[in-house]
Parts: sequence; structure tokens; C-alpha cells
Amino acid sequence: MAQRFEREFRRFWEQTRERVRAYMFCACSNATDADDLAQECYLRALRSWDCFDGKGTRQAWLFAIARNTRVDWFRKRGREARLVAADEVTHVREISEPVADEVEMIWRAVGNLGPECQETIHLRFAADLSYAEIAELLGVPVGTVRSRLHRGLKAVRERIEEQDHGT
Amino acid sequence: MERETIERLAMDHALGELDADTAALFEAYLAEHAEAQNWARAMAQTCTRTQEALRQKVQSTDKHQRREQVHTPWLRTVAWQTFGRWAAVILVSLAIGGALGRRSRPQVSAPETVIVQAQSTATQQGWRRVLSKPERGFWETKAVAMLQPRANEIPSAHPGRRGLWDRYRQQRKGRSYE
Repeated sequence: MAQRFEREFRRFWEQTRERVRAYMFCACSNATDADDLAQECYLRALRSWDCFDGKGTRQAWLFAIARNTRVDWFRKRGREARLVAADEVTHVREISEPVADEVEMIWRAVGNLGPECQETIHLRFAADLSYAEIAELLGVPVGTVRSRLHRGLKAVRERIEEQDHGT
Repeated sequence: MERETIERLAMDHALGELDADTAALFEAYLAEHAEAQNWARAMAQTCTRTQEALRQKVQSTDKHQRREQVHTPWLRTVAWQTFGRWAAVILVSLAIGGALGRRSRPQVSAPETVIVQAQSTATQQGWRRVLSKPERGFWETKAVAMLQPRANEIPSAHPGRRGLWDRYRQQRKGRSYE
């Protein structure tokens, strides 16, 4: 029984870990903190594994836990840890210079969005959740998710266009 | 259709949120409207580039930070501030000690002649000069001290009983002899 549970949990972890980490990374912009947050998230999931009521998907349930973990982390860190530090220029030198510049520019553009748009973009692009899952997670209608996403992407597109015209 | 509607549909289409029928209708509409096609393409590109940028950002920063940790783990674990503070305290203490030590002069006492009574029956030389103080080593000093006459016993304050005070006085006297 215990082995079966362990196998099930391991499979679930393998399926979701990259996305959970990416989602956490979007919050803290730091690999170490992202690892810690992901670990905390899975610990919480493990503790409350049996509390899943079957509504929605297990994945959406996990990301609800991930979101709460992120919120707790923000509370602990205070305002210094705003959703994606927009001013932070971390190292993206593994890739070619123009691509790295674009990555930084988009990262900053997302970081300058309002928290709601930012979180929706993180959930869609980093956590790879569907509109319905995001809506369930945030407790808003699907239309709202679509609007937030559109607003965020529009702002990003404007920045991309500005840069394209600038260069 | 308005630009915003086109963009929203393009976003849904790029993210795979449109069902097959709606997607087919949308593509057919775009095929007929060049301007709408441009708007849709721009939005689809934004979706792709944003997704790619987030993915690359996570991966590249991850690689970079992990490499830093692998190469210099011990540098991160050492509490450099504490280490520096203690090093400064030790250096200042050494400097003060050195300065004070240089100023104070060693007390040089005149060589002292120690006279002991020889215990050997073979020599029978009586009182003789043994060694001057600078010539003596540690064990020689001890040996000479052992040959010194012991302090006379102090009479007890209370006859018949030797109290703590008497023993203390005797010890002090013994030390002064040494």
C-alpha cells in the first residue's frame, strides 16, 4: 500500500516538477529559492494528499498549493519580493546576445505588469495550465483569465514592437 | 471583426484553447482578411516569444546559478563577516601586545649565590657555593630547593589541635622559605 502510494506520488512529481519549479522561479527569479519553494510545495501536497476531493484535476490542486506557497513566501519576504523583480538582470548568457536581450526584455515586460496579469501569464506559460484550470485556481471566470492574459500579452507585444523599431 | 476580437481569438488559437470548428472558421476568416491576419500573426508571435522567453530565462538562470554553487560552495558557507571581525580582533590584540612588550624592559636581577649544605657524606665539604642563578636550569632549581632547610613549624594557636589557620600560616611560611 505504502509502496503503491510512493510510486503514484513519484510519478505525479515527475510529471509536474519542472512546471512547478518554473512557476516558482517566476516568483523569485532565483534557482535556489525556486527549488526550496517547489520542495515546500510538494511537502504540503504530500501531507494533504488524501484531502483532494476529486473536484478538478490533481494538477490544478497541486498548483493551488503552489500558489499558496508562493503567497506565503511573499508574505515572509515582504514587498522586496514583488512578483518577478523587474529590475533584476540575471544572467542569460548561455544563449546568444540578441536572444538574451529579448529574453531580458520580455522578462522585464512581464515583471512590470500588474500582479493579476503577471500571475495569469505565469500560470499559463510557466505552469502550462489551461484557461479552465487557471480560472478554477484563481476563482474567476474563464473570460477574466482570457482578458488578463490578453492585456498582459498586449503590453508585452508593445514592448517587443518598441524594441524591434528601436533596433 | 475588431482588432481586439481578432487578437483574443489569435491568442486562444496559439495557446490551443480553440476547439477544432472554431479554429477552422477563424483560419478561414484570416485567409480572407489580410489586415486581420497581420494582427493575428503579431499576437501569435507574442505568445510564442513570451513562452520561449520564460522557458529560456528559467533554464539559463538555473544553469548559471547551479554552476556558481558547484564551483564555489565553500565560499558561500563561510561567514566572511564573522571571520573578518575575529581576524581584526586578533590582529589588534597582537599589535597592542607587541607595542607594550617592546616598551617594557625585562627585569634583570643580579646573580644570586645559593648556599646549600651538602648532604653527601662522601664529600663532607660543609657549606659550598653550588650554582649562580643564571646558571641553573629548572630541575637544578628544584633540586636546590629541596635541599633547603624546611621552615620551622609554627606553634599551634590551640594547643593539642592543629586548625585550618595554623596550616595556612605554616604553608605561607614554607613558601617564603622557598
